[in-house]
Amino acid sequence: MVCQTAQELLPASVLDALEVDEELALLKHLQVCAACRTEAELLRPVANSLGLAAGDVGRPSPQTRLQVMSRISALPKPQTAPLPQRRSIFRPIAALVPAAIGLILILGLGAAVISLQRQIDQQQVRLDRVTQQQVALRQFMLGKPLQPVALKIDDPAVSAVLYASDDNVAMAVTGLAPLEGESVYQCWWIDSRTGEVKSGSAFRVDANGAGVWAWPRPANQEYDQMAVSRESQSGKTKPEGPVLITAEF
Amino acid sequence: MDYSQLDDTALVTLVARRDERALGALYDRYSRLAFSLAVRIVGDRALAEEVTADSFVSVWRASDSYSEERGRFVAWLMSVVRHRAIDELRRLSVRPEGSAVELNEALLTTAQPDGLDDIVDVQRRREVVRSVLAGLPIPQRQALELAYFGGLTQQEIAQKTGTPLGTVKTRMRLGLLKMREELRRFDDELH
Ligand SMILES: [Zn+2]
Repeated sequence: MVCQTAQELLPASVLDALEVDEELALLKHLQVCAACRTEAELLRPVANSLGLAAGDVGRPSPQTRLQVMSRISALPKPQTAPLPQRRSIFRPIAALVPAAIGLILILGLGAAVISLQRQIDQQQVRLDRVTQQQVALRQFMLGKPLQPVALKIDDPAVSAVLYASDDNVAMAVTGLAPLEGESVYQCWWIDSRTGEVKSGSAFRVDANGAGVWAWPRPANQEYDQMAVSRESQSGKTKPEGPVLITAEF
Repeated sequence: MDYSQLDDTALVTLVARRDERALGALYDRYSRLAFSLAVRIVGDRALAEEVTADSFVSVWRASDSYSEERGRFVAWLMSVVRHRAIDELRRLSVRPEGSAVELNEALLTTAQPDGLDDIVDVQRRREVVRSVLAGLPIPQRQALELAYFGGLTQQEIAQKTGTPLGTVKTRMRLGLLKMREELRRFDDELH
């Protein structure tokens, strides 16, 4: 994508009004273009200020304030120390599983983004990309019941979040090793009871080992796990390289 | 400490340190604004109260992810409210007919008793946003409002309004860029 195209998409992007494919294409451009990222950061507050145009309707009932104060008092006090790197994404997500679906969307993504931010901080990557990832994930998932999926990640440098709706999964990852030559990251859909494995999408990552993707879930196929491995080339029928991320459905 | 005298940034910092009274102060300052936005999007006061409550709980949970470089607190809060409200709209698949395009022309009342700069700034900014929106050509304004308050994508707007997609894209872009220009002028005059 060239800058002119990106700049034409930005106003709709900051209003969350792009289609998923456009948003993801724009995201790829923003990952490599500082000028367009700056432009996006300038436009976002303009879009946000539209909320001020809502007509005044008075105050919410006093019960609303009581509800807020009692809910925050009931929340566990989070630890102040930074989360450990290893699987730091799990805990906030796991804690949210019983919450209502709507809450999961906003709080779950919030928690995931905070964790990703911490991880990325450590890797000294700019934070605005995470915001972009959040936008793309949100855009993709809005309106669909979704669940965070627990992940098993052995490499402490890798962070990932995975959300699944009935039809799709969306994943944001950072910290994967850069790829060389024809190598790819390959997804696999696995039935752990029968041992049957089918290949899914293959993907590459940016210079920071990061990216965000969305895939359809396989139809007409039994599976209870999804795994990501690094392979020397795409088109393999079984995982041969190291398995880096495993998701349990 | 008199929390109502603290500015937004100081209050959010306290919230990040789990100071419940600081969240209460932010609530007192901005719940009316948040609630107004929620009502505009979901079109129902009871539901909008839930959205407002959830949004302030989200602020509590995510306060350590807020930093001043990410913009004014109020802009962040509005985006939390908006996303939460649009989630609700989609969850219920209820789009109050016309609510996204109708401009509420009710006169602004003074929303908050506090005399702090943040509040005054928000009030003035609110007037600027409303007057800029009102000054836009109606199709541009409608495109912005359907996206922002209705949570519609450009394609959905094109379908809903029977307008070619390319036209919707152009309108949205021109409308938002015009808003940026006017808000920038407002900021320049302010500082
Ligand atoms: Zn560019």
